Amino acid sequence: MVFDYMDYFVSMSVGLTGFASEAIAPEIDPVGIKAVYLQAFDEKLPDGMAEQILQRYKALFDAAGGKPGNEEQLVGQMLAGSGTSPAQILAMRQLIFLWYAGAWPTVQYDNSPSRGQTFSSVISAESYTQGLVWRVMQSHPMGSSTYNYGYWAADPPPLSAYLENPV
Amino acid sequence: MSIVTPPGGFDVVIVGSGISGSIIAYQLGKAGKKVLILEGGPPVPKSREDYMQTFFTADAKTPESPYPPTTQGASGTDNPLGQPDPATLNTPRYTVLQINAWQDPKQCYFVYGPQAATSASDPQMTFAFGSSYERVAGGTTWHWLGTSLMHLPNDFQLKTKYGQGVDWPGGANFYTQLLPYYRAATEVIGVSSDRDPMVDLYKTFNVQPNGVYGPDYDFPMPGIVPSTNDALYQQNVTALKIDGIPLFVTPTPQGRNSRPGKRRQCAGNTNCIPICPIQAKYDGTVTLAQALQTGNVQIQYQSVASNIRLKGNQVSGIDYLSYDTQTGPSTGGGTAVGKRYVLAAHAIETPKLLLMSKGNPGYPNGVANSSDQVGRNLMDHVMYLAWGLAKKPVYAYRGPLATSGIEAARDGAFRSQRAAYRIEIGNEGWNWAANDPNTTLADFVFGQNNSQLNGDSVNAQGTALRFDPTLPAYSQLFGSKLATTLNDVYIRQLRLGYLIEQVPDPDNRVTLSSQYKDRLGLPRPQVTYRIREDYVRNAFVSAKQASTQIFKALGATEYTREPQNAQLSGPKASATTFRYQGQNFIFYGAGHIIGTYRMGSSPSDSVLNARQQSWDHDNLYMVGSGVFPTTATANPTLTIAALALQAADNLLHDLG
Ligand SMILES: Cc1cc2nc3c(=O)[nH]c(=O)nc-3n(C[C@H](O)[C@H](O)[C@H](O)COP(=O)(O)OP(=O)(O)OC[C@H]3O[C@@H](n4cnc5c(N)ncnc54)[C@H](O)[C@@H]3O)c2cc1C
Ligand code: SF4
Repeated sequence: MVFDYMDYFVSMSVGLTGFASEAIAPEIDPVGIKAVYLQAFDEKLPDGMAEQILQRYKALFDAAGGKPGNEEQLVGQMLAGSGTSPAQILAMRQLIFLWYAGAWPTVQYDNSPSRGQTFSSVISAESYTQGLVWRVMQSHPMGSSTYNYGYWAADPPPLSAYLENPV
Repeated sequence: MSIVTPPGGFDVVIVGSGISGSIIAYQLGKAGKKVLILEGGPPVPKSREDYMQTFFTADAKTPESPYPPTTQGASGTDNPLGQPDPATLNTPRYTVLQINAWQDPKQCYFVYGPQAATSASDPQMTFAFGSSYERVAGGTTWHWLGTSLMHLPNDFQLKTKYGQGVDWPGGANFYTQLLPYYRAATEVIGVSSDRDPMVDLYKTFNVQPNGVYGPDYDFPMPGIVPSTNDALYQQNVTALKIDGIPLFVTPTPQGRNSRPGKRRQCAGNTNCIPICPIQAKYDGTVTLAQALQTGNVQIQYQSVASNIRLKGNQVSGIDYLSYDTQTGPSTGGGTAVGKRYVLAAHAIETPKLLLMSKGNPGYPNGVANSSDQVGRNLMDHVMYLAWGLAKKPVYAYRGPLATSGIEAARDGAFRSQRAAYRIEIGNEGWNWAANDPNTTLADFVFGQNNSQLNGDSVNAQGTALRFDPTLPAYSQLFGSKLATTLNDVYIRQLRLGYLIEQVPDPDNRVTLSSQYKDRLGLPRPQVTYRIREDYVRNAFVSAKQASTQIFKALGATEYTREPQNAQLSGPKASATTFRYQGQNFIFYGAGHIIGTYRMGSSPSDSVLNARQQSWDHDNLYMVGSGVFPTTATANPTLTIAALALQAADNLLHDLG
């Protein structure tokens, strides 16, 4: 069951997104977007692929001492092809897109100067508002601001605040 | 719901409950007149949360995306955006998603004829129309931006002053007569603005301080604070000139609350288009509710006006068709009768209704159309978009979608040569220009280059556009490098929008499709739209040059995409690209649908007189931007509101 891998899913997502686990999957997590994303990750991919990717990550993570701190290095190995197929690498990249945009991408490559196009489909209202793009731009989802009048006249808190904390 | 006719009948029947229809209803209802509104769309929802949910889950976040009828369904290979067939909908409307599907009437509500031009530089080239509207109670201000500027005296005398287009009836006097109504219109909308910058701006156009809404005027609310993005322009554009006119930045008067009032204070959701989640932004439902609260105004929802009846030269009733569900069958209908009639269904649906009403003896070309001007002179503020990346963070995507503009070049001697424009400073990065944040995200995750940030793209000045030259082209990033790269890009994104004046062209028109109908069996609009005049095209050349200068002055790199050569035929025929003076241009719609039942000083070349009353039928009035003889240079809705208030006075005068 893919949900048995939730801890590894979060850890791998930390490596893929560049956000701290407190920011994407806080301990007290009323939104619980990680479950929505894990489910989408499982459902959108061919049968069993999500689980294979997570098993591979688990193996690397455990072999490296089973402690947080080197998530980025581990996913880097996987994206470079260590124990992963091209289809699995693409799936991991789709997961990055999902975390950032809250939408599942369909990527079409071609030989044009733009190398093709990417279309995407929003998973849910929550996934749209939880998308990391809004945090990485030091802002808020379009259509859902928790700020007050006039905030836009001053500089926002530093990026690190958005990468490390739930907003 | 059945209509309960008051004793003595209705004084006035209004078609449409947008800002213009609602203003008339409120003014008349306040004065004790009995009013019936026929509204084609569904009622105002009890909570805007349903519209919000629809918006959040929409894949394409267009201005129409929150509102019924649904813009997107299941996609297929020949219908990638999943557009519903307009023939299956009771109140279909044009959406910006349909622009690229313009050649396919199964996806596009408007029907277009075959391309008339032989090359993309041929002025006879026809285009998809760039702008859209809503068919729901409250109308298109559900998704407007809220920019609330006045027109200028010279806008009303374009022919006399500059030899272009036509004058408004009364010319510059029109402005003086409109001033008290402009003033009242700012109260209706609840405009936030400081007086001083407006006085300074209008002085540059020879409008004296008292001319800014009249003596002792101040706006209902203080100005909205400008964004950090505006500050960059404020500091840098003052050394520049366009056509000899020095540039400066003006904070924009806006229909959104700068402090809590009857509605909530703007929280900067950066989502004014397509929907303000907290109704800090004014919309037509505000005035509609006030109208209904007078106790004298009734509204009949889901009732589509389909025919105007005449008795002699007087309107005697308006037929309508009702429905229960958007795709279901018609469930009835009737005829609404009053002493006076007002059409407020906006600049496409109003002429369509007039043209559909051709069964009356003596009026074979439709109601109010003895001049043959109904449906003609369709215009928009055609937009040139430019975008770039600032050297230092400006923190885009924060605050209302636009808080300032460069208004200085809205009038001047150049107007005998080229169209005027105002420049809107966008606060939402490349959201509109390049469909960001998703485009840039996809590029750096999947190694593509649709944003031009991640490949070998070069701009018109020869500057390499790859964002991080230390990275290879088509990089695929992850982790902290992805996060910091995206951050670096998003917070620097700049966008300018030029709202270019268009001039009336009688061949730009709305007619009725002989072939295509909606679910109610009503003919769909057939649209012919061109930008033939060098006067307008010259403004694109000017806008392009101005952007390059402005971005240079800002120290920013320009990313405006050079449009591909236009394709003239086939299902993928270019919708809004043309070639002029050896350069390709693409235009965007401003949402300002103007003309189609203009007022004028002669019944031979206009539909309405200066009272907005039909020359042919004196108990029929029309309101909205369809009455404008020219586009002028401000966004239209403050003027629409002022004119609606004036028309309400005319109606009250008539009714005695
Ligand atoms: C994206 C966008 C941004 C904009 N931003 C600005 C801005 O910043 N500033 C500005 O000044 N303007 C702006 N506008 C323009 C502004 O929204 C319109 O000018 C304004 O809403 C028009 O008001 P109206 O009352 O004439 O028509 P609408 O508000 O469109 O109302 C027409 C009404 O008629 C009803 N109707 C239609 N057909 C029928 C029928 N057959 N029977 C019965 N009812 C019918 C409709 O349901 C609707 O309620 C923008 C427009 C768009 C599209
Ligand atoms: S910025 Fe946000 S709160 Fe303010 S008007 Fe726009 S959508 Fe509403």
